Amino acid sequence: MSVIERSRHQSAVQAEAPDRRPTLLSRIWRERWMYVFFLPGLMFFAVFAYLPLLGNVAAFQDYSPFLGFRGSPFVGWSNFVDLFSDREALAAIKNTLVISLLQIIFAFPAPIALALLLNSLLSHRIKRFVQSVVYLPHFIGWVIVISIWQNVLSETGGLNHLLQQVGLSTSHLMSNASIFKEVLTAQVMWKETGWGTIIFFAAISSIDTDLYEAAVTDGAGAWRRIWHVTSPGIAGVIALLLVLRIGDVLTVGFEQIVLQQNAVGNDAAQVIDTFVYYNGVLGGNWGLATAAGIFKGVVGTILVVLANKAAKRLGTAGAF
Amino acid sequence: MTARREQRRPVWMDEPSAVVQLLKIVVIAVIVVVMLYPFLYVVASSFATPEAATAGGLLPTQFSLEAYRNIFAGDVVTHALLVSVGITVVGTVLSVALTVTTAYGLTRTRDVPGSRFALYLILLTMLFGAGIIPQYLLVRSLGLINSYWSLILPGLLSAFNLIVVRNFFMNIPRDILESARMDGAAEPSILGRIVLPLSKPVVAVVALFYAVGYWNNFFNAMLYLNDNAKWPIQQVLNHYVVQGVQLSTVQDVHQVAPPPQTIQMAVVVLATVPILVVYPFAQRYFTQGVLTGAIKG
Amino acid sequence: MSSLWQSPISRRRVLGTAGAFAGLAALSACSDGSGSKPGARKLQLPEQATPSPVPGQRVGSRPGVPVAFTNYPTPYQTVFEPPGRGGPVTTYQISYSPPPPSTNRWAAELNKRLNVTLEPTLVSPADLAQKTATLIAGGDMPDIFYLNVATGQAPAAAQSVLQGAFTDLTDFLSGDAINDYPNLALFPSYAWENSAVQGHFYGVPRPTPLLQSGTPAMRLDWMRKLGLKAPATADELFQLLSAFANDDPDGNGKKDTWALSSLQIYWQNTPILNMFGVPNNWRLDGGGKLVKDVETDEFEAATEFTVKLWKAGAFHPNSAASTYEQQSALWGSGKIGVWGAALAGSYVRPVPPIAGVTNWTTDLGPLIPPGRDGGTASLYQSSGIFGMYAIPSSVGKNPDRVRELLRILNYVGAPFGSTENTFMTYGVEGWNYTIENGKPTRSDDAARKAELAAQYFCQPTETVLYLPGPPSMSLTAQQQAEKLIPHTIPDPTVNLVSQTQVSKGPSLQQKLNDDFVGIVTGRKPVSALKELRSQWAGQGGDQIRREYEQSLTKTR
Repeated sequence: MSVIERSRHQSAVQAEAPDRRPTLLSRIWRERWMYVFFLPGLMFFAVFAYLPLLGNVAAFQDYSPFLGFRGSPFVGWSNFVDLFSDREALAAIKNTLVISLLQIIFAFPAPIALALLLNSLLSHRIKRFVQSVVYLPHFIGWVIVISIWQNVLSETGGLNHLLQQVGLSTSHLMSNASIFKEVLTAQVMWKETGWGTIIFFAAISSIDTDLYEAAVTDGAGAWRRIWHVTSPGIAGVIALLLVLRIGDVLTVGFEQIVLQQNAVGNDAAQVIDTFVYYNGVLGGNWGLATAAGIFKGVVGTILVVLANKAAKRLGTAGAF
Repeated sequence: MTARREQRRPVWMDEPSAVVQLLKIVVIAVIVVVMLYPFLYVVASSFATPEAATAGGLLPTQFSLEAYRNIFAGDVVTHALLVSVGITVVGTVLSVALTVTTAYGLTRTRDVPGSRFALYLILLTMLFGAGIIPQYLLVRSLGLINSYWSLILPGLLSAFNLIVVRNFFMNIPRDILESARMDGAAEPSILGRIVLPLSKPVVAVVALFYAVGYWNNFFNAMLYLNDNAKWPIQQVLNHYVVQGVQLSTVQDVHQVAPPPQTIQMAVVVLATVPILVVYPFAQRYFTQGVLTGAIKG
Repeated sequence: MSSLWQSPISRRRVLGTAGAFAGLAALSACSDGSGSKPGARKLQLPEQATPSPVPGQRVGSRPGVPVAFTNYPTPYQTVFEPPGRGGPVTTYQISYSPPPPSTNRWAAELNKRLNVTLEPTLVSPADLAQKTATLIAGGDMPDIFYLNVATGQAPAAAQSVLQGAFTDLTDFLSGDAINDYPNLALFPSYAWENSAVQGHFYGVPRPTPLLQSGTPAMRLDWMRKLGLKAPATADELFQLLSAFANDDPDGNGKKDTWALSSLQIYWQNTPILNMFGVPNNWRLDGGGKLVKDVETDEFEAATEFTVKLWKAGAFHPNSAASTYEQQSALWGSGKIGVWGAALAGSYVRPVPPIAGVTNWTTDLGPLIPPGRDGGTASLYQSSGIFGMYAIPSSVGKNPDRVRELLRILNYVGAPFGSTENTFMTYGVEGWNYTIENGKPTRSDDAARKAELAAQYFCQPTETVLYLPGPPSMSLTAQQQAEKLIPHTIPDPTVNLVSQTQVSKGPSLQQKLNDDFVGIVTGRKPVSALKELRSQWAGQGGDQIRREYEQSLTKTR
């Protein structure tokens, strides 16, 4: 049917029954392809995400692997009571929030800044080269990363000798409990900033270059172009990632922290995920660990919803 | 038409001042050095003799292929590499296909009844999990223990990647899509002929994310593959680095001496080089402008 | 749960933070295992067999002393019939090796000798806890299951043991039933005793030496250069250790040496604890009550001593945070004077060589902590086992199958020097190893070495002192052990189960450690010990104590 014929047909239908809205079934049928598209994905999550979620019943049980979900006794809310009266759990929650905050303030914007910086480079060659280099740390596992950091920053490392010339010292940097959270953040920045730029490059490259031309014709200088063209172009992605990051605020890394806990002590280095590991997997207190997981999920959900609303109010599309 | 070394400066990029240029170069140089040096150290150490590797100093100076010879002895590593390549390729293709279609299906939640709810359900999976035991029981009940599919299926769709792709799709100007619909095009052809070509950057990025995810994953192998002949490269390499660990207490007197650093470094190189090879191909797609002139006409 | 789709729990490393996992062998032990151990009266230990006379072996004069070999003996056969009946046997084993190649001559030969087809599931030490948990949860557990409930390994599995996940093997193994498995009867008594969980046997232990801590290797050449001799009192030990740091023992004119490199409560500090008579993890008094080591006065005295050492500069400045590798490097480059823990460590040629050590037989030797005012310190007994091999209860329903599996364990548990043990340790002669100068020497080929990835079973190899050298120091080490074993003390909780210890133990121990380090380095005064104790007690310590005491009553 041509466009004209079809719109005539539609008006005809509507003229026949002016109060008749498209029924639910007709809307579903009209969009049948969309269902074909997303239902398989939804099925996937139903099987591989929701079925295992049933295991969260362990939060209300004194769960043990051998007795399983059917055989483990119910204990009601006592796992949650234990969680919130456990001094260590509370310390872990506090640590997690502080570290997360540091990461959101420092480690989150770093890839954006780096992406913008690289984007403003003229030479394609340099740009490509730097792009390829900055993501390398992402591929080195935490075990090696921390080993390298310890070597570089140790008493006998090269950096310490350098700094000692000017009266500073790097010793105890990696074992100082009071700056551990900052060190963690610096490590994350080193490791993930480059990799994080990838998604922003994709966003920047999606910005219509005509917009830049138009901006120049309007007399905008470099900074104004960043402010008026580039930033809005990637604002959507920034908002999306920030909302998702906020939803994840209670996750701050596991392997990285576990490897350094001995050096700085639990008070500084226990976070929710390590707490869950020590108590759950190693300690066999699966009920407590699952309760902590549910707590993370509930808090994350609330924050994601709030963050998304805020993002939308600020004019972006938000995450969903 | 292009000047030498493709340095045709777009009209909207004016010459920055010399000071700013210098500053940029310094900052970038520092960043490059800080990020590159450890990697260079790792690569150099992998080709070093054991003594040179532990001697300290900026970079090892004596070279040998011993570590690689050691690792490649027998067919374990080569086989594991093949397994990993297979899993990564198959997994990435399936994941990208499924992600793109699912994301597209969720772009018009106002028009498609129930799709908003589906979106929320999917988002929720990013926030809640249940731990290793329920996951293990699920895979087991699907009969996937010791199957290669246990390395692909559990992570086939990433909600995060899905949301990112959806977000990019939703940034495509509506008019283009609407006019295609008016012309009678069905959704599949809109997806295939309009949306995807305009989304090369995000598809490339997401494909890269999935590929790296599949390539790096060893956890699934540890949990689901009891038969070590089927292990992918990361799981195999883990067993090489098994003792190479930061411990400041050694209560376990069964601390076997860590393997030579050269082997650990060679392991790191082997684990990362193949995926590094993939990156340039993906990079092409997200460094070129895509929407140039898309709105016009 | 995380923003990228990697698993929420990535690989982690084994972090054993608890104290020396101490054992419980009564030294007056005759093989009936009576003595000061809880449950000893009820549980009948396997009859201890005497090792057959093997040329070149020297058996110790008392139980607990390792057998010594100066040369590798001529292998002698101990198993004359294949233990298996054909068919598959699935196993779950820890592995410290890279994965095996697909064509595996050793594995094929092992299958032939056992007359079964082994199907191993290998796990690295880092993943042990997780894999153990999922296998138990999944329900289809391998026939031979490596179970290690020591702290830092897979302690949560102890709960599954008590819930009946594993077959009770007591009737199969105790008393003279063990004679069906003559090699297992040769295992040291303490290993059997300490593997029992609340009075029952659930697996065949992998035996380890009884004395594994408190006797680090020391630079005897430094000691001689400083004109000092082996310390006989606490004061002399103090003198020695501070001289190592302050009196330039390597004679290079620089103040670049120290005595010790680690500040944990146990490990390098253990000799000091031993010197002051601190109990082994817990002290059990006559009334069935337990006192934790940190709660004792002896511990306070030991802590004061360590503080003194710190103030005197005997510890390397980075001792609080340095890694095992870094400390090992210090020892290797000749910067610290004391290193290691196990006795045998002082009696082998260091590889790679240690800077400054010209003759390792005279320049290195064990530091034997003296008693505080003379005499010998009370050294800690280890648990004497490193895990055990259990049989799932589902498999245990068929007693013939259980016996078949035990026969297999009997084969792989053959004593040091037997053809079976040589095969399990070194592989196929001419392929995985050759005999050079009378010593089995492994092939350099990495693939052939990896063939033995699944070799880790219940072999008693570690309990033997085989230090070939040359020169061989096995006899010297054995003599040293003979002197020391009578002075060792057991850990009364080794057979007991406390759920709180499992879940909170490591983190409590870590907190203790942190506070201890704080006191030693001067951040807090020694009087902060009071706070340390009450915190430990309040955050779980008292609970653990109660649970252990309860567990004690169950085994009486």
